[in-house]
Amino acid sequence: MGKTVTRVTKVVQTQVLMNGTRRVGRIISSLLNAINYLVRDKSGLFGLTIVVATGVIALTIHMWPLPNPDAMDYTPFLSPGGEHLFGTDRYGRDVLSRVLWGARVSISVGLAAAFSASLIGTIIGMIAGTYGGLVDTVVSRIIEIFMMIPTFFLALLIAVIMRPNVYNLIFVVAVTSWPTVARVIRAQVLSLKERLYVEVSQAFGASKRFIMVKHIMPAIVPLTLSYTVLLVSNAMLLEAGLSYLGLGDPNYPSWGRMIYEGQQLIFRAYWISLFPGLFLTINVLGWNFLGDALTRYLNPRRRAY
Amino acid sequence: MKTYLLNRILGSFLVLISVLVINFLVVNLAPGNPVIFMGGETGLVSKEYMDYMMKKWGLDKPVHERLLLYMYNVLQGDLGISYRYLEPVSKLILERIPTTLMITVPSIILGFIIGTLLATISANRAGSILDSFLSTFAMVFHSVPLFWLGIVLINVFSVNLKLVPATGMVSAQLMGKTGSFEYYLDIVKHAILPITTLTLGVFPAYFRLTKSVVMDQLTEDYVLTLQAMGLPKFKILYKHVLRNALLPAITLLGLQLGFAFAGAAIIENVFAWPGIGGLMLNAISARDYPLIMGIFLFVTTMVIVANILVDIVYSYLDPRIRRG
Amino acid sequence: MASMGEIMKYVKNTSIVVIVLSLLLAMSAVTPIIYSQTQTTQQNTCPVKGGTLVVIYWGEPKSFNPNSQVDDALNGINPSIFNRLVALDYAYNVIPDLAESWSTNPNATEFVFNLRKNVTWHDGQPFTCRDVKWTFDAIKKFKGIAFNNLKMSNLQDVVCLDDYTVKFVYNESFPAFISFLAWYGTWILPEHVYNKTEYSDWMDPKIPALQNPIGTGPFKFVEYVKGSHIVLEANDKYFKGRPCVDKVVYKIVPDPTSAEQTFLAGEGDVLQNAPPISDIPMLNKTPGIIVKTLPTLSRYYIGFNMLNPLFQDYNFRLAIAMSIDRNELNQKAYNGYAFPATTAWLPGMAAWWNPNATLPPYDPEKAKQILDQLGFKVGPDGFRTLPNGTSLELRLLVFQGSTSEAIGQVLKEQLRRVGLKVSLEVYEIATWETKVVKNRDFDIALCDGFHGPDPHNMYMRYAGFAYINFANYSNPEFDRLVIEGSRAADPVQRREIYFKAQEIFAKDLVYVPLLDLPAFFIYREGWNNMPWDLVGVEPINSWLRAWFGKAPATTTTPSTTPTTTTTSPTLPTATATTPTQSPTQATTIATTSTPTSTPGLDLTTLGLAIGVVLVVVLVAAFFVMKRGKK
Repeated sequence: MGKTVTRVTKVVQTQVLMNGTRRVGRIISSLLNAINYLVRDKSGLFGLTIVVATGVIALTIHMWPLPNPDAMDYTPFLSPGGEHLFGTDRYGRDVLSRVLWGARVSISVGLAAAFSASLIGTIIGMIAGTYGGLVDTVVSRIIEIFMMIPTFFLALLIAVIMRPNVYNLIFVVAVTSWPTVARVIRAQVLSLKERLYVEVSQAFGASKRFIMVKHIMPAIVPLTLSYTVLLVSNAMLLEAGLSYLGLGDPNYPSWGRMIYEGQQLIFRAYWISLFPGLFLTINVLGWNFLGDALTRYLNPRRRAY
Repeated sequence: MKTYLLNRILGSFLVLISVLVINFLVVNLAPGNPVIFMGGETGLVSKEYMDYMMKKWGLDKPVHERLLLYMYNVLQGDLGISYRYLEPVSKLILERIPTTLMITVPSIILGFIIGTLLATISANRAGSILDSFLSTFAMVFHSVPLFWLGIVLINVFSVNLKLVPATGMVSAQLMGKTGSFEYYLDIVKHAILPITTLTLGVFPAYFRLTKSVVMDQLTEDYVLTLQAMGLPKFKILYKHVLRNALLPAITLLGLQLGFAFAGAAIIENVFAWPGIGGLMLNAISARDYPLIMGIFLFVTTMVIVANILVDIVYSYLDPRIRRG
Repeated sequence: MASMGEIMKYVKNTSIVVIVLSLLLAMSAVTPIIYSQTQTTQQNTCPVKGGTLVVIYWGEPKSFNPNSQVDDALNGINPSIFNRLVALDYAYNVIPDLAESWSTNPNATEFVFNLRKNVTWHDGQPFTCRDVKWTFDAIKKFKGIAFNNLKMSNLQDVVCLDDYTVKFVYNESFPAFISFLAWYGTWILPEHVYNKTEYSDWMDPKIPALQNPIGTGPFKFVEYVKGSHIVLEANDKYFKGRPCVDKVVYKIVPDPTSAEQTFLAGEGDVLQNAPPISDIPMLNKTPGIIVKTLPTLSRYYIGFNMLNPLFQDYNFRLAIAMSIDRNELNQKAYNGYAFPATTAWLPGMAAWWNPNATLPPYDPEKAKQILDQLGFKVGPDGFRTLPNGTSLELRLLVFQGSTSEAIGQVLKEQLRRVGLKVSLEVYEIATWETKVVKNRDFDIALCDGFHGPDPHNMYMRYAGFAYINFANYSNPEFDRLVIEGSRAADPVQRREIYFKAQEIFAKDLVYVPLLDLPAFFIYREGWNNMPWDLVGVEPINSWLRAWFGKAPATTTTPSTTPTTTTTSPTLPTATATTPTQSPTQATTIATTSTPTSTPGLDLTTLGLAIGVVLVVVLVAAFFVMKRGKK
């Protein structure tokens, strides 16, 4: 598989370059390079497989020949096997169907939260790093505050205040995770500013905005991307933790919510919490592997291992 | 160094005040006021009672007035009185510190030791089967939701194998017999499962951190030089590399020890361990304003202190910072 | 109103379970108006003495002033430490406690209690009428939780006729007084401990008794380690004799699953943190564990927000009510242990229950028809829209707790089946309260609550002026009747009033009752004389007579038919129809009651399954991670 991808990369690179659309070509080729690397890196492949597989499930789940995950049409507490591969829950819902639909909910919450967190974090980190001065001081202080307070308590408090639905869960996770990203991005921007080409550009009188957009942004994007991937797993775990305390959205079958519903029934029906727990663990594992591989890819010094 | 410290302390003070104000506002924004909670659950409460309690706790005053009053009291070292327990907040927190630290500190230290040791072993034999196994092992526990792990452990080790007690801190037979040897032994037995769960949750962080730093160090020039000089690999690893590699791990340790005072809310919930995390969960659901803010403030202070201590230790270990 | 979710719910069932029939005391005699009784104290006899009773308990008390705030956790512990003038047993009868006997005047405005003379406080001081007077004066002055129940604004005076006789004087008839006196927040407190000039009120943190309570009860307080446990020891000087056990320990485990596992691991004698209901058949089958059940006066009901014009249409409310299958609710949320509500009031309150005030039956087809007629057409997504074509989504607000959330889930599904889209919102109790009761920010709200100890509860819960009438139910006729009922001294007339009120309530359908709840008692085999076995003898949650071991002879068990005539007094025509649930002796659940299908795998298999799965994951990941140096 690795070889095929390499070949495709080469072809696309040459074609794109020949067509002359340089920038798009560069982005596509670097993406393909990354995929090429991930496919060769075995743990990256493992992560990518899980993530892609779950992604496919999440996107196509409505087309699968599965019972409605909300319909309470079956006998409650059927153990796994037979017609219901993962059994049924206390309401007579099909656990397999719920677990697979859960992929859609958990992944969307994880992705949305991670993306918003890294978007906020990147923008704030970039502004602070580029402009420096008072802006930087204020932002650094805010980041510091977030680093010092127990964020789980804060997440809990906000979750309690707001209506426990998916959007608010996303908000809670994003609000408590952005400072980590902002800190890393800010540090990265500061180190980029020391680079020769940026200093030269500055010497030629380029505006701060120009530097930010032209020089810093392109260098930051990959880093942000790898952070987002790692944040997805964090977000999924935080969502599960809040759901476990009963603060999840009862209208959607997320894995955390299912563990919460099933953990009280663990004596009677272990499968209700076991399968979502496993899917959650495997998915978090997948995102972590993928994130690690991406970090390695971006930091070639570490590629050796 | 002195001016640096002074700056740090001044900065921390600013952080503390911001934390205080933010928390005060967030807490007071929460729907549901503590008086309703005290009386309203069963709908028995009278209008008269609500008014009486609002006035008693000063909740009838506007928010900014209460904030100023609260800050004034905090500056005088008074965290107020818990609505729920009718006891001083500081006393409630102090009561829980030993129990909380009893499970968090051992797990963090164990996690640190296990994590860094395994990381060194793993890095030393990078690419081997052992390395893959250890890395996967760490990654799995990095990914597993801890509450789920806790439930599984209770099921297997207490209910099924009956090796250790499931929940709580002391067996009922020994309650009230504080001070005897059996009493403390019993507490240790009860602490085994929560500590195990937490350790499993904590060590991957050290493992991953230390491993990546060690791997980085191994490519440094000085290692190559030492290798060229013919020093045995394990000697280079343990004498030179690990010393440098431990710096970030120690930073993490310091931070985590600061957060150790916050307890581990979910794990305390699973194991019914009476720590600060559980106190906080209760306080939030009871809208016990003084207690919520007291815990926030206390934990933040501890984290800040830990941070400053880490900085000091770091500056002795790493001369570059001392000069800068 | 809603308790702290369902956890508290059960406990409330076991702790506050209260009732009605008390009042009937005043009615059962031939000339029923003035009632007085004398009680010969049944001294405690113990076939086996000593030992510790360990209760696995569900929550932490807030403070040890039992009258100042609602505290369900403390309420379950109170009967061990404190006493009331009169108390309730598990059949909801009023039984004597600190008062040996009492009498009521014909207008139900004056109540005289004769107090026991041999009672001392735990600190050795004698108990007298001064303590009683101070307690009720304090409830009135500091707005204790009983303020509303006891209609304190109408209480003129509490008079000590002598050291051992106390008289309550009301300026208005209050026939429900004695029932409510046996309920929440009426524990007699030591005047000499609380009443000091340096204390601002009875919740002044300086009062030592807030942390180290002093009562007259069968057990003395030893220690309370917050979040962990409470220890009580036997009171040698208790007026009914020393308890059989030396110690009672309440082990606090708030998480129901952890609590159940702690109990199964053998670390407790009584499980008072109700486990998930689906585990009850399993617990019942476990050797050495006894599960008993009793009906209670708590019920789940929903209310429609009448401020929303949609619900002002009776037919819309009717359609929703007819879409609810209470049997499915019972099976899926309560494992079939609850009692589907079919009438406006609880059959458990036999004497006040109008069997003719019936609710509309489950009929989804009819419900769909009604909705069609109202113009709620089914849209392309399968959900009905408003008559004007805009989409409709009803917000159903429930509070946290596995049972209430389960009821919410099933309701949502049942309404989906008739084409109504429901979004479920789960809030913890304090937020639920603000949203539903205070701000009326909901469409449908699920609530549960104790409907006793007297039908006067209708006045407190459903009347137009009641604080927790969250649905804004307002029918002047209903309000008039419940006000009248609260003053009617003649029981026969009073009953007719409440019968009428129930018919109106059922017809208006602003509130729809769902399930009447049972209480579960789960404990270890070998324990005898538990309070639920001692109806008519011991109050709820009193461990005075509990002992562990084999009974040497049956004669030692106190008779469950008490010498007093408090059990099952009935009005001449009260029970024309036998109630479906009569509060009687606790019944052991039949082992055959296992509802639905396959039993789960046993735990060894579960452990193995998890182990195998973990190993598989590890091995898979391991092979993937494995890669040689290039």
